[in-house]
Amino acid sequence: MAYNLKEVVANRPSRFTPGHRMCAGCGAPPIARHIMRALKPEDHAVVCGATGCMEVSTFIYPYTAWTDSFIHTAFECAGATLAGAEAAYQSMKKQGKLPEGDTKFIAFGGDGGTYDIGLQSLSRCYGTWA
Amino acid sequence: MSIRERLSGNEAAATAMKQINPDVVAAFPITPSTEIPQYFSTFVANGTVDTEFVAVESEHSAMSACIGAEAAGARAMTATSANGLSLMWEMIYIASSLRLPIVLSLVNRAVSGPLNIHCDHSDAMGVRDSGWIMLFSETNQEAYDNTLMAHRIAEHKDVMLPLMVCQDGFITSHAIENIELVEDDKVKEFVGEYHPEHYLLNKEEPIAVGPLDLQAYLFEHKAQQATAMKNAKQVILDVSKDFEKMTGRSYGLFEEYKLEDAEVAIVCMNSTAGTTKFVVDNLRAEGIKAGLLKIRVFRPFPGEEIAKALSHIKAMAILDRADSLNAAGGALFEDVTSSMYVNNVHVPAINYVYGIGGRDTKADDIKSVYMDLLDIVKTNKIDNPYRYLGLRKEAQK
Amino acid sequence: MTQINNNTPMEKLTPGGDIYTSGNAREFKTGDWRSIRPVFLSETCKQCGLCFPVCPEDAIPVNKDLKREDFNYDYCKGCGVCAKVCPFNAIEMKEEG
Repeated sequence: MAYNLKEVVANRPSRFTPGHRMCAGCGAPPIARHIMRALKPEDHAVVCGATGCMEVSTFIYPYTAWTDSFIHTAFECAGATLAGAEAAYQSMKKQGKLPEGDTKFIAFGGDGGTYDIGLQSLSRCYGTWA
Repeated sequence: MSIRERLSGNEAAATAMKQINPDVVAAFPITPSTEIPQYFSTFVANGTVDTEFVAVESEHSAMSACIGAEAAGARAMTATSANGLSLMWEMIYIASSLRLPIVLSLVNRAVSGPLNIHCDHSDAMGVRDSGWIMLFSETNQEAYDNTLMAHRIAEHKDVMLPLMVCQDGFITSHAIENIELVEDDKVKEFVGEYHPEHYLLNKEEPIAVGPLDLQAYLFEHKAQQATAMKNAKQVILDVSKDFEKMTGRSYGLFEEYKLEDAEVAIVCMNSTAGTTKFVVDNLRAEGIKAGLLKIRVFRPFPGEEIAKALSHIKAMAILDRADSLNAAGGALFEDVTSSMYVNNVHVPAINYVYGIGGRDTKADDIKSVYMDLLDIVKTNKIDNPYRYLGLRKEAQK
Repeated sequence: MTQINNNTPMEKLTPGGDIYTSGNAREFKTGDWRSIRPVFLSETCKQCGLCFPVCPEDAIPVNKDLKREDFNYDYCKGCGVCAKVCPFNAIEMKEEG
């Protein structure tokens, strides 16, 4: 099935709002916005951002540009943080503590936060999901 | 009827965790706390608990995963020691600042280096300003009891702070003692269910956790943490009262052992209090009015209450199982003496750093402290307030 | 929630800095960052669809007829990326003021 970007943008509301503080012309916001639009509209997401300009510019107290749930902890551990949130989901779902419906887990890490300082935490992420 | 058992301190902590049945446990093994996640993962494998066990690759990730889980709306627990806590350190501050009532079992061990796997409190002292509630446990029974009370305290709406239950590595963690367990159903009822007000997995109200908190806000958020820590004192007392109703075992902010009419007193934490009680009994038999103040709640620090409890003492010694290496004295010494000062109570005080790296502290060592105190009472002179107990030195000429 | 500002007392700030109103950054208008403004020349525009995917601010709305509309100046920071990618010179950058 052909992917029609115009249709997607016209019909799926953005889950990454304007009003963020990324620099004028930055390439990251369109990427994040398009990734978030790949979610099924009915699904809820928990997004984790590694410390970096994407994270700080989209979540400056008291504003967040994410319409889904979002968590930031530190630079190098987006994988492990989200693995914990996902474990909570698995556990609570199993125990009937959550309503029906799917939650997706998405981690955004920059190059450093992912495969430099964050390489160790990334290994945790693979350990859980591989 | 409670259940009589014999368990090591680690078994006691793992048993408490089993009865609490948390949603998530994320842990990485480190001596001497390894057995806690080890026993617990057996409970998970056997289906005794509903917990999702996250076998992380490091303690940093263990705490990160606990933060993620707790923020998601789960009850999350972990255990560690020494360097494990050091590796967690960055996330320890983040856990408390995000106001996540995670419960950690800390089996106290010397932080490297040089490497040593035995007991001292340098790990706990390294996080004393991190905004965690810190409970210390003299015995396996206390480690168990403190763990059962932990969630009620940490999750209280006026508190919402993480909590660590400390016990001495090997001394209590690996020693088997008689213990009274509470029945599973009673624990379940006592601990209750966790229903956070706001959490990531609530799709009706998606939230954002962990912002960039700039100059206009971080100060106020830190002050909120400080307020919560102050609130924790009363909550701890209230929960302890409820616990006493269930078990008959009474807990306060600290324990006063033959302190009421004492002339000389020792202030210490964890298992050394047991040795000290033995010495106090012996000295009392000799007619010496010795007493003990054993700290249970180290954070929030009950400074005002401690100052009051010690106000009648003629000389006291504060025992620190970690050296602050500040050329002035240990952390507990500084907390106790500064609390006395601001509460206008003056008691001659000395500090002993002791038991570093698992150095055995025997009854005779504790007795020598009381003898030094009696000498201070007699001479009214303190040559050096910052001393070592059980340290080998060349003989003084 | 959104009333929180530099004058809010500590008792009224959300604990831990949590935000319970997701997506509320919409209330923070970034249009005043702009020093140059894109002007949409609708007659020249061929509706090729190259401009809106690159806009960091979601400031180029696409309607249900799959046509782009005029800029949302509440958020446009004036970066000019849209004008750069436009093959038909249908977006002109002009000095503000």
